[in-house]
Amino acid sequence: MLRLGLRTKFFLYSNTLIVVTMGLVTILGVVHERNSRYDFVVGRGRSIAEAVAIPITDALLYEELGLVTETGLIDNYVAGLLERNRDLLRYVVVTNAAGVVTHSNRWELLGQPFKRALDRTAVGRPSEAEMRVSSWGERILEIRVPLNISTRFWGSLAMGFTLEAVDREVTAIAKKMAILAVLLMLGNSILTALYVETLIRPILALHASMRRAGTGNLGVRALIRRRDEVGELANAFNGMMAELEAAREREKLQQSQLAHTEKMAALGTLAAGVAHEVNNPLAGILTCIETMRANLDDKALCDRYLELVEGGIKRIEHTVQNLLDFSRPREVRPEPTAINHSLQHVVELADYQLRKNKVEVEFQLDPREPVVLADHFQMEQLFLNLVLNAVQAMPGGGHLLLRTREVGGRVIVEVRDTGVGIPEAIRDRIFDPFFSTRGVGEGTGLGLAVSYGIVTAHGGQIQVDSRVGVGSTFRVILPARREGNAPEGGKG
Amino acid sequence: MVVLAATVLPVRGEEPSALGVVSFYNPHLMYLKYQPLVDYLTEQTGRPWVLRIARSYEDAVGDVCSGRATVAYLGPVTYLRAHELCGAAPLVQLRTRGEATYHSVVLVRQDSPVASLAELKGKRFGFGAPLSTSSHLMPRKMLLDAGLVLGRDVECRYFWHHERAAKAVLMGEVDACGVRDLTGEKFLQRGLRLLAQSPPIPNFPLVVGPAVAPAVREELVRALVELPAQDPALRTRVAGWDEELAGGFAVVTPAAFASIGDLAAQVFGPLWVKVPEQQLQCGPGGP
Repeated sequence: MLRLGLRTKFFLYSNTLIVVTMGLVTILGVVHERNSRYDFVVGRGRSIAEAVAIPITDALLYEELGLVTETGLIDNYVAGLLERNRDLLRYVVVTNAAGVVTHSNRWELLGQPFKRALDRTAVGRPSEAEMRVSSWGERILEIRVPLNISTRFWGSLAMGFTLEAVDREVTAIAKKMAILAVLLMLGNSILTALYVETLIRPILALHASMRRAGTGNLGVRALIRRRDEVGELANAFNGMMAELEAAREREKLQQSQLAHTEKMAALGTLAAGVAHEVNNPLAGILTCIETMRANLDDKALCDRYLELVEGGIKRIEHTVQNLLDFSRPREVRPEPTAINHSLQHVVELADYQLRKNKVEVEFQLDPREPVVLADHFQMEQLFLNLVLNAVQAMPGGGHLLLRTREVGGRVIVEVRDTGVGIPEAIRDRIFDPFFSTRGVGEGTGLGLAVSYGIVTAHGGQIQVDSRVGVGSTFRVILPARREGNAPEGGKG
Repeated sequence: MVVLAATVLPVRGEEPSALGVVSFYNPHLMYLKYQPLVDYLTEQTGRPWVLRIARSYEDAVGDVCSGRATVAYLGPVTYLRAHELCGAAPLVQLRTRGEATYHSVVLVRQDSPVASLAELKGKRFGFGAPLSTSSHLMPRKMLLDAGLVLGRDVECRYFWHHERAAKAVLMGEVDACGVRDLTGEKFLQRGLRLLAQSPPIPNFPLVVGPAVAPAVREELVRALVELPAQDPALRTRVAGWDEELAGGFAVVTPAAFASIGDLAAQVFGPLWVKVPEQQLQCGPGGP
């Protein structure tokens, strides 16, 4: 859309400018050319007519005086003029003082009154020039000159010059100029298009890079080598992307460190439970050992108690193994992870805290066993954080609902407690690092921040609904694992 | 251009021979029509020739009789006057359009109601010159034959040139005119209409005065008749002249004009040949 828009806009703007300019220049040029040619014809017509008026007047004068007989002198002038100006002159009309035609190449006018004949009032005035359309449809410049000497008036001379040749020339010039203008416009359009292309292409390339960067691909670089502002823009963009990438790396590192820190803190929380888990079997084992020592002869009893000792030790081993598994720093590795199972394992880890705090756990797990593409251990850390958070929110005990659903390609995990709730004033800040409502030493303030980091790193979202005194629901939304689809955004 | 000038200009020290002409048309037109013939004579005779335009038909007669014109291009009536005055003789005759004769025509305006010569009664009629054959004698004869008495039934006016007479009809100065056929044809496209045509008239002769040497006469006949007959290039050249002359010339004898003499005597009276041209005009007191 933008790609076409920017290019088209630029192209249309520049071409409209060119077309309007060229059109105006052409029209003005043609008008100027036509006017100057008309002026030339008018000038030439006037000079011919005014020059011819002199011998015609003389001929009229001499005939009047009887110095010459009316032998066709003026007819000769008329014929000679027409012969010598064949291309230009269409008619010559000589009228007497009464305005009646006495000589003309247009014989039908002879003896007829001539409408446009000048009368005595024309004496002393400049010759008249009039553009008119003849009876046969030709554009004519008519020049009219009085035939007079001083104020003595004999009649008038009218000469009709065709404007056809001039109009033809002007039309030809107009055509040439129009063709030239069109060619120039075409040339300009092509050059403009090429220039627009070279100018716009890097901008569009930069735009495409930005769009790719907008999807989270911070490795994108604009491959533009220019020395102008676009080049500087591309360099700035590349610099910015490099910074962002570095920041992302730093953030990932910090995230990982934070996660580990939080994990250790969680371990601390779990430690009492672990101690309890270890202590109980140990007490049983000691009792068994004491009983066996007192009844060493009773092989059957010893065998039975050794089995009990073995079971106790295996139970301790299992507990310790769980703890070790959880605490070990690991490389983040996305793999298909069964969410229901992760939740069940987390509840097992936090079993002591749950029981100690009289928290009743309820599972509502999607029987379709939703799977996400995620790091198995990060998922457990995420849910452990949320479960421990819930436990802490219910100091007097309560109900913890763990619910999974797969809806429209997304897996939704809800951790709902019946705890104290989160006041609205601080709800926006609970995912900030080091924000904690507990006293100093009671928490790292990193639990929810780390959870947030894990969820977003897996292309998911985390939401919270809470009512003070009623409870809170943390909702984790993750892309469902499907055949061939990786979590959107990846791990960056 | 230089070559042409050299052939036209008289050779220094030699008096040019003159081709006399009656002013059938206005002088400008006369030069346009006849100067090519003058140039031709200069080339073919090796002597300079000039055109001598007479102010009147009568002056043309004077020119040929006095020797001011070696040869003169006259109408039949004018020739007869010259023959009568000094024994001038016709040498060759025009063959306009290949014919030995031409015609006189009577023209009216296209919008004129006149349908016959007789209807010209009470109208004004334009002639050329009194001694003109086709622009006076013949039309006058035609009017007489139509029962019209000039000066009484028809008002006469003389315009001295064929074209001027025709133009006078267009101008409304007269109602009809009589001119030679070639002039008449031109004016048929300019708003005039043919009313009547005369019987054939013997074509124009080139006339020599009595003092012209036989050698010169032979030279002229050779140049005008024999050479073009032998030389296609010269024929082509002659054919390029004005239509009146383009048919070339043929040898002629005085007998060809006898009928015109009779006609003139009939129209102007038996002594017409000696009557001054001015007196041949009709009108109050005219013949």
